[in-house]
Amino acid sequence: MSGSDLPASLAPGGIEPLAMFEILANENADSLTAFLRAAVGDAAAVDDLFQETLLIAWRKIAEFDRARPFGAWLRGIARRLVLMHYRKSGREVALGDERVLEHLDQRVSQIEHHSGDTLDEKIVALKDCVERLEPLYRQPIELHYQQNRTTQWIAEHLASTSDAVQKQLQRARLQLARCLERKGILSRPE
Amino acid sequence: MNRMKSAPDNPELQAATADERLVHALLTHLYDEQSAQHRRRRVQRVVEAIAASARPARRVALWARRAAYAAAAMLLAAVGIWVFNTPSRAMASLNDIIGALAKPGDRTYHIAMQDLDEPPPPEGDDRPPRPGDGDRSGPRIPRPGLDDATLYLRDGRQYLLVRRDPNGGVIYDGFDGRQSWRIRRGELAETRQGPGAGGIPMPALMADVPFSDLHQTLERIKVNYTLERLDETALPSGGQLLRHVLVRRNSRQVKGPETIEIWADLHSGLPRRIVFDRAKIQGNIEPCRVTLDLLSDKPLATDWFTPAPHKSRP
Repeated sequence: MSGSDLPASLAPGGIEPLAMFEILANENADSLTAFLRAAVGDAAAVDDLFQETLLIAWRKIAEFDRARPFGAWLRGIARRLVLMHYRKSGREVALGDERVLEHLDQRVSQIEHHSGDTLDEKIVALKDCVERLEPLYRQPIELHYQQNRTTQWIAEHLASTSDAVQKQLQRARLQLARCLERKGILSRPE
Repeated sequence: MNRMKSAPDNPELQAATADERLVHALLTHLYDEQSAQHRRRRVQRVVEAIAASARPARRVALWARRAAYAAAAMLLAAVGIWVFNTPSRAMASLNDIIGALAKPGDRTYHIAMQDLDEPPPPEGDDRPPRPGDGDRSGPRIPRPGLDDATLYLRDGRQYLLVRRDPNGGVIYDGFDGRQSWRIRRGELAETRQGPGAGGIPMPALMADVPFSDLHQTLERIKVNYTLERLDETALPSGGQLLRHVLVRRNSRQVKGPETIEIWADLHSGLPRRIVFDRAKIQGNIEPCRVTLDLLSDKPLATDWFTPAPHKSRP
């Protein structure tokens, strides 16, 4: 379905639907990626699912409910793909997984509604949250995310163990999530 | 997700673990300097795959073609594309303007920025308040703004923004097609791969595109704005007749200036003046009017968009 296949009445003025789709996809790519990264973790799988989500979105564009935001619709497709991904990879899908994906979807939606035009702008407060972490937690976060160091490297650098660093990172991320709630980027649980 | 499975009946733990994974994703995004480029490439690859797979579709059955038309119509309607309501002449004008900016050549624009007072929201505006909306009384931190800046563009791909530093001196932000760079106080302050526009205040419409990518910005106008005027008129200050386009954003939900007004050359389509009105600029509390005036389209030095010729300037 390229624009050149369309009658003039459907693609007036030379605008191709695919070009429109590309604009919308670009605008929602960061939040879709964040959703997939949170749900899957494995970078290669995130890439695959991202592309598959967009391909399906294009195929099903006639089903898109214009009353809904495009990003939420994309995530709906991505959620089904994530579940299929877990089933295909032979890992048991617990009943809770769908609820987890629902929770993630809501969280990303909350971020999308925050002020700012790009995901970077919407979550810029996260940098402040990192700065406010205790050194015990801030250091591994900075080494891991800013300097791209592995947990093994961090463990050696801090004279610790890989497991301990992973635990520190996990606790730090939880603290950062609560910080985002305090800053109103994520809503507090009811 | 593995940890979540360990407690399928504990929604609180599930939510906490999901939040932790989400923060991981956000941190990865936040500190990944390549993410914007990477994202564009990934979207581009998908679009190319779609386009490639659509080529043999010219021979597909009639039902498939009808489904494709319906899908396209739905997409166009869904995004509120203004071309449905716009005469083809207007679209041709806008396409000319976009095309002119993408043509090879150098252009120099002067930028003026004027603060405007925020008007009260119209009745019936149920837009939720944005954080900071009610907090406009704080002291202003002097930041390098856009007022009286000069923007140099080459082929729609390279740029140099020269502006005053309120703390003294001049700031040069450039992109030479491969790397972006900044010179502050005569010294190269930072470089990064790709057309990053870090630290440059940008109109919201241009927030996730390179600062100078007017081409991309104007493409967005097609999607989110409705044509209000199209005529041939001179600039308010006089001069020759120009093509004049005024578009207004479709809703307050659209991120971008309230109106965009363009005066372009009748024949080449090259914008002589672009006015972004009621634009929200990063680091600027009040909405403002940003005006770009074409100063020159004469060729600049070959290395103008690299740091070298600007380093020694104070």
